[in-house]
Amino acid sequence: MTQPHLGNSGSEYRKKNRSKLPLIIGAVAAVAVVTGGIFLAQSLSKKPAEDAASELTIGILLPPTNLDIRNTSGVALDQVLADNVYQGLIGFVPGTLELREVLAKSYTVSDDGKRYEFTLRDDVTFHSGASLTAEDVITSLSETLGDTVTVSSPSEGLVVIELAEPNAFFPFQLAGREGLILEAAATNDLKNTANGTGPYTLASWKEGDSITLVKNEQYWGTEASLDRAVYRYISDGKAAVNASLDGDLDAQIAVLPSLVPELEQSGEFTLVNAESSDVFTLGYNNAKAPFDDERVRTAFSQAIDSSALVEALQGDAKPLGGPITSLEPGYEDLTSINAYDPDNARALLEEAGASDLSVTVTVPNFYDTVALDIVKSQLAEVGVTLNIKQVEFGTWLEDVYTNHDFDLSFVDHAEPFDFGNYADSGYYFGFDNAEAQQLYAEALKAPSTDEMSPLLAKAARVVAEEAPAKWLYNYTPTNAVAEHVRGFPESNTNSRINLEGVTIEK
Amino acid sequence: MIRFILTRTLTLILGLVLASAVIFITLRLLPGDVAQVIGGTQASPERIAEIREQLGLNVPLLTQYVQWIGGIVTGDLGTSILTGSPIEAEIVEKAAVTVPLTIYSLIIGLTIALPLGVITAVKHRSAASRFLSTASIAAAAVPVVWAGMLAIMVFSAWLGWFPSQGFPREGWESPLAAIRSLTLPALTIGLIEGAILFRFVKSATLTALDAPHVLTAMSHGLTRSRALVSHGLPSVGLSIISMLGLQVASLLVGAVVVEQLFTLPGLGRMLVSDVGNRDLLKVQSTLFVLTAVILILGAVIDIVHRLIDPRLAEAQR
Repeated sequence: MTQPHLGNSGSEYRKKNRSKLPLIIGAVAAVAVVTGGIFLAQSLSKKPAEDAASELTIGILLPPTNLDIRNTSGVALDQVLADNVYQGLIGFVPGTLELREVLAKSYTVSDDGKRYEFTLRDDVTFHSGASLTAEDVITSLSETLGDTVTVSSPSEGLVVIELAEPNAFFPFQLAGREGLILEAAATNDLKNTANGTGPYTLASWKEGDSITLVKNEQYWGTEASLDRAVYRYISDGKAAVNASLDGDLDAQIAVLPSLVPELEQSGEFTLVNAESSDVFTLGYNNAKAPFDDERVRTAFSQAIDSSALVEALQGDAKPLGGPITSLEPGYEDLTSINAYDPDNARALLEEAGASDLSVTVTVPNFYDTVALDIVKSQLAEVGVTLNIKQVEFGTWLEDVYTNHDFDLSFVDHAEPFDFGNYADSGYYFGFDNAEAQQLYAEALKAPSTDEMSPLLAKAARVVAEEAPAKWLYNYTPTNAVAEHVRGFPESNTNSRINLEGVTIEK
Repeated sequence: MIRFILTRTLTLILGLVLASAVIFITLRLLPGDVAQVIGGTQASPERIAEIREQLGLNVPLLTQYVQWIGGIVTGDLGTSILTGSPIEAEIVEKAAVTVPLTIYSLIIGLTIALPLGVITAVKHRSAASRFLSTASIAAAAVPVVWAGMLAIMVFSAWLGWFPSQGFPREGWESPLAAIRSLTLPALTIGLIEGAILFRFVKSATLTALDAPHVLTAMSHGLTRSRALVSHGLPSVGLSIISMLGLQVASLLVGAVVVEQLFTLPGLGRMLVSDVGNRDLLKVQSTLFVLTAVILILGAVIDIVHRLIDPRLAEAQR
């Protein structure tokens, strides 16, 4: 046997075929070590300064899409910018829907309710440094209120608004989004910056993540009680609670009901149920079968037991029998109208020839469906099959809001004073009721809130009787406020969070 | 070689064009539009039509597509419909979270997979090796959300080592805090990724152990392990590199889920909210950039692979 000649020995063979892999691994390791070293060196040389300033961080669910208070809808913007950054002639007392003067020192309303006279404060400046003038008010209000009003300034510091028709809601409108006064001469980009008159200025906006406000040193009124306020947007309910427990949040708005116990157990938070104007509404498509039949609508409303929903939400809700909440003018307890009565519901459905009904509810996917699951099982009790269709909000807007292509819809109507939706046959409910429309028009013509309320209440009762929707519950979300925070608003925080008088005591 | 690079570049460009069309068309199938989102639930149809006109949503689709591609070719990704800011700037800002997160996850994944994969292959008849193989199958099947919750429970709630959510507001200006906040998310993706890579490394190593040149090296008096290290591992390394190109896509998908779970201001969370708000121009530009990254990476890996391993060229002749 002769050995085949290999030409080189084992060791030489190894040398020749030295692989490139150790080189590659070595290079990667070197890069990792170097970058790690850089990071370490950086962090050691840059110790974050101890922050003595008072800073409040608030956790919120839904971020605004941009900062354009003029053109972008949704309460997400009001929660941050109204009261704190932008102000109107009139505003709300923090945490309520009661009116008070803000940029106006005083105002009067004529007896016929058509003429409002405002005396402006003379010491107000915008964040840009410009002084507030009647011109700014005229420009702002003409833009938002359009042709319904004429705004003028007969003498310096006086603004007169004349309405074509009396409108008892008008002061509330002025206290809301439409009444906010912007600087007429300013050319700043409204989508990304804000130039108001409020106690805080906008410091930064990280889209979808956070908005930071800082104290306005040149504020015309009482100086802000916080140096900085950070609104952090956390879309995941569990992550928000984790943030609170980590100590990253000083206040959390609308804690997911099922997670409230976790914050309770920690003992570091005060938990407050905030009254709100939010109505979780199961809207019927009144314009098409089967809901064009009042018997079917009544049957649905009577088949649903609101108290079971309230229980499932662990106290974060109140039963509501009509479209107006206790924070708004015109509220009265209407829960006895179409109250839970499954036997009658069954009888009504039979009478309407709508036994074995199968309908679909369209719901935006950022809502918890706990309540809808209960509604589903309650409707099953009376022989109705409810299919739950979760869609993106954009899809809901297209299908339900714009095209009225739906059976039932489930959304939170968060805006206050939105009763007018039931007096508007073009609204997505497709509810066309002459009596309700007339009563609402009359209510608006009332010369004052006190005289408007009973008329609105009457209109609300008519609407409730007709069952255009089931007002499942008035949402009273739990806010968690850390022990060291004082004066955090306790009501209406789902549409406004006025930071006036909020302090940190450490 | 030059010819190979040219053809590979050409297929890359074709892929990008195709991807842009698919992304554009798919997004146009979504119901709803940004005008309705801006108008909200109190806007009249007239008002929404007005917004639509202002935003240029009534421009014919083909024109929109051509304008978009034209912009991309000149390096302009357009401006966000909602914020009016340049999309490029917003992508760069959010990528400062997502890219480090992806790299961090990959490092964790490789740290787990490489040594364990090679060792279990070499000793693949031992009980420990069998256990690891079974465990990896289980770990690879774990949903990201679930792994994330588990990680939060153990490392944040019990041990308190890492924050359970969020990213420092000052970002990378405080690198240690930034790395700390990315640790659990990276661990979440990294563990699952590690399990996938582990099985791959193991089978690649087993193949290498039986490769003729390794057997030849052993016949020259090298021990099995030494033969593997000096002759087998280079080919294992190569297969891992080509595998990584494919894994980048799944790492990015993992990042989308994890960013939601841990509230990180990255590309994934931005995409989810932009789709929800129907800021289509921004969504399509972001998706295009991500797709381009994956496709370009694939092409580069192919070319590098070819340069390192001449056998591929041989095989094609």
